[in-house]
Amino acid sequence: MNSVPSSAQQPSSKSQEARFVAASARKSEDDVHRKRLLKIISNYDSVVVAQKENQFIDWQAARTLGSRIKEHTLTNLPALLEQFEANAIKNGVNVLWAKDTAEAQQHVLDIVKRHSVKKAVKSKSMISEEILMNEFLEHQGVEVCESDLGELIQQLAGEKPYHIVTPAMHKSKEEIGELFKRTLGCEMTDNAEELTGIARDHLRGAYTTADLGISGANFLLADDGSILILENEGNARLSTACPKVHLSVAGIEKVLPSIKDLELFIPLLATSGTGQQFTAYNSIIRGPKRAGEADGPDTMYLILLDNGRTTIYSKPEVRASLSCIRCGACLNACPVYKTVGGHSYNTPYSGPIGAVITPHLKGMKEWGHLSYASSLCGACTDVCPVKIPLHHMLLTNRQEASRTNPSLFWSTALKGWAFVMKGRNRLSIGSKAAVVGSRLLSLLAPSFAKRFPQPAPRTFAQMWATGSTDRDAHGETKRGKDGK
Amino acid sequence: MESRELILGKLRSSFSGGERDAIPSTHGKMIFSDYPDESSSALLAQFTGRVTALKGEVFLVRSLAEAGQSLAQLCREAGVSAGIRHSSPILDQLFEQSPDLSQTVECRTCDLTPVDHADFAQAHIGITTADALIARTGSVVLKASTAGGRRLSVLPPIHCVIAHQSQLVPSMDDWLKEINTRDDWSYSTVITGPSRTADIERILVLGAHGPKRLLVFIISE
Repeated sequence: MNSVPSSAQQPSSKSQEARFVAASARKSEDDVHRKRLLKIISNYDSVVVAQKENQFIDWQAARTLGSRIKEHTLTNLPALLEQFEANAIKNGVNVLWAKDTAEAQQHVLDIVKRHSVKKAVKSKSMISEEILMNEFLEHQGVEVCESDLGELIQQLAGEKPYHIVTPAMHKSKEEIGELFKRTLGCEMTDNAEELTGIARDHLRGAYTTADLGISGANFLLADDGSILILENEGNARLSTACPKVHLSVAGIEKVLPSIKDLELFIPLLATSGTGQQFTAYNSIIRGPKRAGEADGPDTMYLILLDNGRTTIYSKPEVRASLSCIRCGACLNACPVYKTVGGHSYNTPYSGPIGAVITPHLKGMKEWGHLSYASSLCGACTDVCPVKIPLHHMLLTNRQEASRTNPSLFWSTALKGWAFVMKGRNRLSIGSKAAVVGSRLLSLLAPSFAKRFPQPAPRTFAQMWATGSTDRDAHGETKRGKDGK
Repeated sequence: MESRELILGKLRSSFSGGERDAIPSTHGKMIFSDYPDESSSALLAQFTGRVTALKGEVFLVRSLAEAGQSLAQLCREAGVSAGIRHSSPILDQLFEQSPDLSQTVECRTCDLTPVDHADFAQAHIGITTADALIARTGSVVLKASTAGGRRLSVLPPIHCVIAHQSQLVPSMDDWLKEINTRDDWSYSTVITGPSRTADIERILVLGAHGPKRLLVFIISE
């Protein structure tokens, strides 16, 4: 295996936590960023609310049904994966399994060598960010063209996607115009339609000259052995129609039991993702072209990736996070995401869902801090179309994070407190020490000590021993005499 | 095969819940408030309304000849002179019954003679049939095996669909239930409006990478 960065997004000597804190602090002070994000997200919010009302008899019932289907899927995941695999193989797909990034990259390398791939065209896929597909292919001398408009903008800018659904949501049309002028050599324009046209013309040739088309998969349909790709632009259709080889990469959790589940899941994803009833294109791909069909790839590969998903599966308290359909609704709802922005997380999956799964996928030691990137307000849980209890999971993540990365101050302080509390004599000494301490304080710093109530003249243990309280003896307490 | 066993083994060992009861079967009618009334005219009205709202164009015609006539007119207006279609009895008749269309558009047939990427680059319009029309969402369903493959409906800047009113179904459910694994196709796509994007400041732009215009001719005869 060649030496390619395999885990770090951007190598840095700083710890991930220090990076996160520094980047978040910077972004939260950036007013332009905040205003832009709020404008985009409030536009998203209004269309999503309208779509839920216009389309569903009962949105809450629809998400309950969605979560039931996903729960059923997770319960039967190994059997459904085997069923999917058997049907996909029948359909002529080469199914490859990968336990981690290194093995997935090895599969990609084998495919590149077998088909002498020089150029690949890629449709939007977050899992390819997870396995560093672009970096790896470029390292192998393969040119990679991102074809989704948002992903193309990010690739030209040399940036990672900002959001799992809208990768360039943080950029203004002026910035994109400048970027296109600089990287594609076109005239400056800030007209969204013209910019889209420039990207369209730029990519036309890529589809027809690429040897390999790369896609993700929104769903793996177990009973049909097919994958579903949901999109609006048509770039995924072109990427899976023109090149002679099609490679799809999918997480093992993407299974749905039946093709018939699409009736519900396409509208769930389209509504929560972009506020649409249906996205423009929903393509069901069963495999390479068949006899009698005019065109299509001669070969299709599908990599089923684990990369930490079985670890999540083994933990009952976070297992349901594997139900995620990557709609991005929790990012748009999250006050932390809206303040610190997508890049601060420094991971392919940002926002609440990213904060839940990343520590398990990439290690609690380095990524446990993301569990604290939440106000626990529960907005993410409210909007999730498959009812993942995200903010509860963030809380259980914190327990694991604090066990993995204990704080020296707190663990020492709490151990000391437990030691004192567990012995009657130690507790008496402790309370006497507190009385002496507070008297000392009122002598040394009387104005500061005034803020605190005076300790009672006798401790509880002393009162217990004589069988009378201060109130019995004096009618009222000393504190009462002071008029406090 | 090693990783396959490893992954499946890990999944099996971490969950002893066993199989749960199957989920209750549902139908679009129970989920969607806009599930259409199943009369033919209601289906047509909903389909047309949805496609038009998505900036697609629907043409209701009485016959194939009328479809050919109005398509020819449309092509002249849009300056369309080169097209690609697939071989199918409906499309053959469309061109036979409308000499005007044959004269206006020079149309190649992609599944009879091989059509390469360069030919596609020249084509202004791709003409296909449909497998079904979904009224609830205003969607056109195609299969690669019966609609000229994968490129024809996505590469040319205009996609024109010729369909019969009888192909309308209320919801995606009604098309999905007909699918079975014995059907011989490798690719199917559900098309809802022309290609679009909102990746730049959420401003809607039509014609991102796929067709900028979607024309649907529905023949009532």
